[in-house]
Amino acid sequence: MRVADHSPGSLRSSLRAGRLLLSFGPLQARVIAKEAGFACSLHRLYGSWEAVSADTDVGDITLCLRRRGLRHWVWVVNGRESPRIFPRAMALAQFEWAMHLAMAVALAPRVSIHAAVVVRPDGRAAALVGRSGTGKSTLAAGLVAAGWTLAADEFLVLEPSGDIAPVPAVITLKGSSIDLIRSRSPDGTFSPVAIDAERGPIAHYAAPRLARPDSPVDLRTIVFPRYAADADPLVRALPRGEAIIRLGRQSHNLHLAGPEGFRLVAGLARRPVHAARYASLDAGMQVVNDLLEEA
Amino acid sequence: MSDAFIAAWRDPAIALTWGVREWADLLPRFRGAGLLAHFGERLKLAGVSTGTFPPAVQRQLAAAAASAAVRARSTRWECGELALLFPSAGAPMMLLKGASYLLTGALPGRGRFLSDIDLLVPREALPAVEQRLAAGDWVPADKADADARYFQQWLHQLPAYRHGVRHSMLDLHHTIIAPWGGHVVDTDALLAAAVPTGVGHLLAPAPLDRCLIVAAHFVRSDAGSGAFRDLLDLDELISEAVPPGESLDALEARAREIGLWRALCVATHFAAALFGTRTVGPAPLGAGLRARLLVPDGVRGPSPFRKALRRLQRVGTYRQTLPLRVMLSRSIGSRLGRPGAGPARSPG
Repeated sequence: MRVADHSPGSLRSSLRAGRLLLSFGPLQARVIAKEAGFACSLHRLYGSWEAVSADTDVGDITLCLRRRGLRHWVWVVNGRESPRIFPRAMALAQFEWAMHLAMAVALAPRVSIHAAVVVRPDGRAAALVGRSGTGKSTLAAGLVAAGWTLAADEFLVLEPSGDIAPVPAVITLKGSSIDLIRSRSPDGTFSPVAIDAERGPIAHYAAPRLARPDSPVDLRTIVFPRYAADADPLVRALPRGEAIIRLGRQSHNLHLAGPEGFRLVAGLARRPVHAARYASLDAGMQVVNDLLEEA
Repeated sequence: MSDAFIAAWRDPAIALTWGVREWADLLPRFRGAGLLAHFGERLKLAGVSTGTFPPAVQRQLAAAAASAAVRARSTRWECGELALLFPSAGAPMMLLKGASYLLTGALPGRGRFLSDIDLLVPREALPAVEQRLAAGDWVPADKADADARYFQQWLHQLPAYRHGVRHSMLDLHHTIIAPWGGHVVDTDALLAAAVPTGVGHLLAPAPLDRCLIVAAHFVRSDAGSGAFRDLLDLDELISEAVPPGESLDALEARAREIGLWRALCVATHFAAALFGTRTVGPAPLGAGLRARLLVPDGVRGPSPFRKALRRLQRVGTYRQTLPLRVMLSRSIGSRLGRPGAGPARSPG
């Protein structure tokens, strides 16, 4: 059953009672929240996610939205209060963050890497890797708005077999990318813009197409994108050693995965890995498309 | 619900009776307290099969065990590196807490999530040890000289060291608890009784001393999940050091010798309220209730009643009233004609 199949009222009461299990790729998250506003935004933006009844299983991770003082809230992640305290408007943005925090610990022995994964209509997929601020989410959103399927954002999950598990995601957009993607996807689903103390204005974009959770992604190429408006465009193939190190640096939980985790990352880097610098969204999309052609 | 969490440590087999509803509350509590992998080990020791647990619980027990195993492996390796840095037997060097449990195979070390290494050396050996550490690329995370002096004089450890390349953390101690408030611990006696770990010249506390160190740590800890963990460690260490049925006389005698008898009394009574640990000496006021307040909360947070009790308890804690007691003892001292009299030093 998808989130959107619940009526807003029943979603709200499930969240209140802690009876909602949100399917997050290989894991399930139990979400507990009393706030009606949060239930509404979850219904709108996470509509296409799978949600099962929590009476049959426990949930790998537990997230509880708790009030902190009069005007602030906090996510309690796996029984521990997270350090970020926020006003109500930020509950959804912080939900993403809290979920990622909980995932990184609960995923072992899988390895997760800070990356977006987009699938071209012909089924070939590209991973866009890099820390926040490099433009990978904007690039992924641009491709998704152009008809590609989203298989992950922020969380590329490597199974012990080396397969890449699709993880449903909502794309977080910052600053000027919000209007840019809005203009590309006029009837897309966006959250209201919230102002984050650290990151400035942010909004969430629900990808119209999410990859099916049961089939692994056919990943053909890996790109480290970098948006730089004034710099010359550049596409550089990375030697395998550099690729492994750069991928390892972008992992959330390699320190929990040991030698087996290193082997998984090294296996991931068998695919062609490129660093790409581009001056506009369209140029970036073209680079990803071209690299998929070559792969 | 809080009782199920405590009862599980007395008898892990009780987990077999939990359904989805119980696990939904308990799984995040085990993980929030950092004890999920350790509980998995306790289940194994008790011979409880996890096959009938809900699938997510099985997955997460396995995930926690895998992460803990990786951390144990890297801590073992880091201890080996540390031993290489001190090839000749100079001043005694004793590992404390997690790393010492791991290397000696003590029960609290099983499935423990290790974040840093704690090393105890005699105070007079500090300069030489610091020099060797610097040569091995261990850098103090906080470099201000004034802080360093404060740490040496008033605390039990130096500012944490971080390895320049691997970013592992190391705490260098010269005694086990900060030397104020009437707790003066005979660190030399602890070092003299230490046992070898098999890794270079690194030592670990003797089994009885492990109990005392964790008791001392408990009486100085904040009321967070660390305090609960200390009590659990104490219960497990006592059950290992003194076989069930035997008296704790030897432990008590050792505690008096080291200067930790009072700490042992307090800690054992708190632990007894939760785990049924054998006790030493008289019970402190309200130990049972205060111990229960240390138990990690459920997912939905503490009840308003529990919250209020905690606030009340904080008012009465040792640390909060310390300035007041120092002021009082100074003013009484000066009235008695002892200018600048400090806080009274009572025997440990």
